[in-house]
Amino acid sequence: MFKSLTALLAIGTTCGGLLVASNELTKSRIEANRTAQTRQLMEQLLGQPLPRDTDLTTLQHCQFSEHQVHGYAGNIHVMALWQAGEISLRVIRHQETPGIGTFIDHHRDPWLPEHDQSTQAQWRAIDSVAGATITTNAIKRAAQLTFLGMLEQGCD
Amino acid sequence: MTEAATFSDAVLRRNPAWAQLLGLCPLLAVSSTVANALGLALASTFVIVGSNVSISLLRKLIPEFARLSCFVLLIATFTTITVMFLEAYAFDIYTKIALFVQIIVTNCMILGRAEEFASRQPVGAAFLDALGTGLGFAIALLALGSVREILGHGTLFADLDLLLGPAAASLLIVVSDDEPLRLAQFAPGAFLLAGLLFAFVNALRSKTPINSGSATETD
Repeated sequence: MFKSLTALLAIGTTCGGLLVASNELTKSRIEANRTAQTRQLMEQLLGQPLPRDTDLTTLQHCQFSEHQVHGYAGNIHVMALWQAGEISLRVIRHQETPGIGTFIDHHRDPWLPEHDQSTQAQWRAIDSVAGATITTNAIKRAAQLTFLGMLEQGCD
Repeated sequence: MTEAATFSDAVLRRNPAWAQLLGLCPLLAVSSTVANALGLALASTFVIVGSNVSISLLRKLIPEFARLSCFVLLIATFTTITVMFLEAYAFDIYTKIALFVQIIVTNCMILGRAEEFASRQPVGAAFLDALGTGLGFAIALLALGSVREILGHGTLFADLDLLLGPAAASLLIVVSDDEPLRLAQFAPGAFLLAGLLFAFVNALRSKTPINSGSATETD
């Protein structure tokens, strides 16, 4: 019994050690990759490149806000842009089924509107997507959080 | 069994994809392009080699009653390490195949080899068996990936530079400006093509002299 316990402890410690070591090795690069991706999404939202030395945190006031909402399989990280009372959202990171939002984002997948000739105006009226209830609600919650946050800051 | 036999057995006769039909979920989901397929093939091979070698090394230490938990712990460790390194060094591929790299941990192909082979064999044999299984899976992934990319996207080797560095961008071959068979991009197309591929391989295998030899013996 004691021998098995020692063995299990040794195996557990080895695995833990390996994980800590690789986390230390990759942490800074992963962080840099994520920041670069967030920046790219912000530029995409704004429709213009940000100046090179922009500190992303200073854009928080009345413009960008970042939120975390609970999805189907963990947190969904969302970047929101508030522009003249309109909210645009981009998902930064998630663990949902791959292709989050492709169904309603026709820039990424024009398959559906090509087939039934539906227009963007018709798609704006969609409240939820069957089979993606929790994810849909999470994204709506992110939009709500953005709105409340901007209201709190007194933005217009 | 000789070393060469262990290896070729793992690649061909007991191929995880077309002989055992294991790991089909990632096989169908990630084989939409060669770049994605190669990314998952490398990740899976790393996990199976790492976990099976360490399981073989620790096989005398792992207590019988907790062996499955130990296998899963080791496989999960190697999967997490793979995820971290992919996110750090191949971020663009990672964003495309992240989910399927994370579920390598539940791939029965890996746990199967751990239980059936690595936990009973010396390190050398376990390494060859794991490498063979990984290679077998990679062959299936790349074969399906090339067919699906040509039919679904009209290209071959697109986006390989995300995985292998900027020099690999020149490998891109444009087969057609159109998408010859759009169905191939999606899961149902993958399912049909994988079925045809497996049927083709099994037809080839049933013609090998080894099988016809054994048939005459039973006569």
